[in-house]
Amino acid sequence: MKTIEVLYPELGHLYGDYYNAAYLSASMGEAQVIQTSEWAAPAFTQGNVDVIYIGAMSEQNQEFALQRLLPHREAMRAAVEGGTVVLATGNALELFGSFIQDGERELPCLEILDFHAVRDMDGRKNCLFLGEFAGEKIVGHKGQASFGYGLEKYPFIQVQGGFGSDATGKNEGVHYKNFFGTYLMGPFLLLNPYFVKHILKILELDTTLAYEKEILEAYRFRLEELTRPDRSFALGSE
Amino acid sequence: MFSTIWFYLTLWVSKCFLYFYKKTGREKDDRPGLLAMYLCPDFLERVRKPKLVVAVTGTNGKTTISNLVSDVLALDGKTVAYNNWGANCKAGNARLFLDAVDIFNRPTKDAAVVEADERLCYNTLPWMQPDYIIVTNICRDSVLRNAHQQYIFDRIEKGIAVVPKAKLILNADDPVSSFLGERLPNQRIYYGIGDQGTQAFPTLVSDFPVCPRCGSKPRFRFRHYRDIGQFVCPCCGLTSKESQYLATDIDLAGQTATVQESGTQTRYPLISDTIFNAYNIMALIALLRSLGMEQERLAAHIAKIHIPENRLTLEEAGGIQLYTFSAKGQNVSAASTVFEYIAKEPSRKELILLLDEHYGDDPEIELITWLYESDFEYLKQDNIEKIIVAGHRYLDYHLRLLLAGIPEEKIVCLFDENDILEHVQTRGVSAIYVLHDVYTFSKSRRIRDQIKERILREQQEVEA
Repeated sequence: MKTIEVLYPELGHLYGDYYNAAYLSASMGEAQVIQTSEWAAPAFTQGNVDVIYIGAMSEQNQEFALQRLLPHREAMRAAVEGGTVVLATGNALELFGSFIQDGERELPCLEILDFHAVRDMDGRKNCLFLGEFAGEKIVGHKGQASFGYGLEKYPFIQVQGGFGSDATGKNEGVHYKNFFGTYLMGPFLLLNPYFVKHILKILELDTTLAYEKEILEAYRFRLEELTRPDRSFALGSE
Repeated sequence: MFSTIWFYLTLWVSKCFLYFYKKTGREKDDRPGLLAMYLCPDFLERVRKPKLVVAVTGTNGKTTISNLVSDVLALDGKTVAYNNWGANCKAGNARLFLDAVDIFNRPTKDAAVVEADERLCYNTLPWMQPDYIIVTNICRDSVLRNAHQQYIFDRIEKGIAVVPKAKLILNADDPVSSFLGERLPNQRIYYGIGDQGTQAFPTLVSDFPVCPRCGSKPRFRFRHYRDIGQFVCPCCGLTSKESQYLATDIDLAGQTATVQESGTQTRYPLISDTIFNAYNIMALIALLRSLGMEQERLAAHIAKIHIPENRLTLEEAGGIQLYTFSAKGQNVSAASTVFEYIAKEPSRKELILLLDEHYGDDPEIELITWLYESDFEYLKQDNIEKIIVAGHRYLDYHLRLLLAGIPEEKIVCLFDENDILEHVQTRGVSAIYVLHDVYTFSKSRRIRDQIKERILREQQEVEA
């Protein structure tokens, strides 16, 4: 039986991210879900975790999450280097970089990957999103008040509509070994069934999804909307 | 000098437009305000304000509370400037104040009740110079507009900071907004509802997951719904505020509440059987008591006011209660709160969800993050016979409802809203709820009327 560890669900559940782990476990057949809250020692520090998930959070909660994770930096590094599937959505991916710049403040992060983020609360940006990863289209939406820089070293999703991690470029997110981080927010996995299949393949599981017919129908419908030639990806910003 | 002349020219031209719009039946149009702002960008700073300005902001309840305040002030013999259609951005506010002065920029109304968009508060409160600011609550809302609660908290706080004389009327039971103004000189007045033994449903996601001071998980002494209740942090001791105006005993079925204030108790009527509307009434009581209105007089006024029609309507046909109920798409807390109310309401019922908000100009653009934050799981009830969803995102709703555990046979998801009627089952139900977004109110009423017509027609056929 595979194990999913959801890190700090009380902090990282901002935009429906909660359901990513729920859907993944539903598609994994028999899976054990461990919810690690507050100051409890994360399960990945003991090994035997197949997937680590952490979702988007408010800036204040992001700092609480950092405080909790920093003591486990080396165990997390070992998990990432060892090929554990790690999925970080929204600003949770910033925890794995070098630091977060917030005005004059510099918040040290886990330093597992070499990139950094800059907060810009008055420059929040939203967009619809279309991209491509491993030959499949990735769809979704973004709402960023912080932007990642230096992520192009670990290309994940090629942007085809909307903006990338730094609000301008053509790269969205981070892909390193089996670490996947993206600023795409909310129910990322529910929007991208083929990416869920990709993860199931990594985990060497049957790639049939929970409610496969329904999720594929919704995906195709959205994809059709997003690939329309006159499609605008802009959404209201500040 | 030139700028003053320009302001007066703007005022006169815009007032002419306003007159024309009123005469042509377009009273609820913000364009005269938009024109004033276009011609004179500092119009709102320059236009004189009535003696009493009440700003109402927060995530949910702004329009309802603004309506109630405006109605009670009017019943008390005051002339009130208020946009009762919920226009809460700059053009709407300019339209409101344009109508509250004469051509010499002299106030013609006793009071203005201004619904202030919570995200733009930092920008609008300074020129409003309100005497009172009611903050209803700060909950999860549209991610596009509002990001998250802390973001909105900071925005409102920034606005309050520039109006130090404004008195704050805060919901003591909202663990987020009740901490507004703590580091500011503004006087704070709290209202709340004591423990009623409510069995609030657990939420999928929390609006107040961790103590903002230490990051620990707060413990709720009681909750009325979602995270509205009284908490204490077991780690650092941070706790909810105490209410100066506290409803100690609420009878939702009988629609009355006993309110305790400085050792005295008064029985007030309520305007509905929902706890969230009881909070709206408590905000109203806190404001008007702070303004010095006697309890009995206030209670008599409240007995005469109603929830705005665009929030709730009820009609009856063939023994079936037909509701239109505002649940607001994209707004997690509003939708979940209404779902909880409907789940607990014991009638055998059918739901029609018209919650696509059509954000922006493109009807296809609709984010679905809120679907996975909202508690659709509440709708898994034996007495909910069928859930009909219509609109552009129908396939997303289908998946969401299945994941919420709703049996497939109870779900009907339709692209075209015009197909709803043929799927409505009027046998064996005693209530049909049409839940709508702010922008789908007219549509919800049209569907309700079609259902009503069909029920009456079927009844006539049976009788014939």
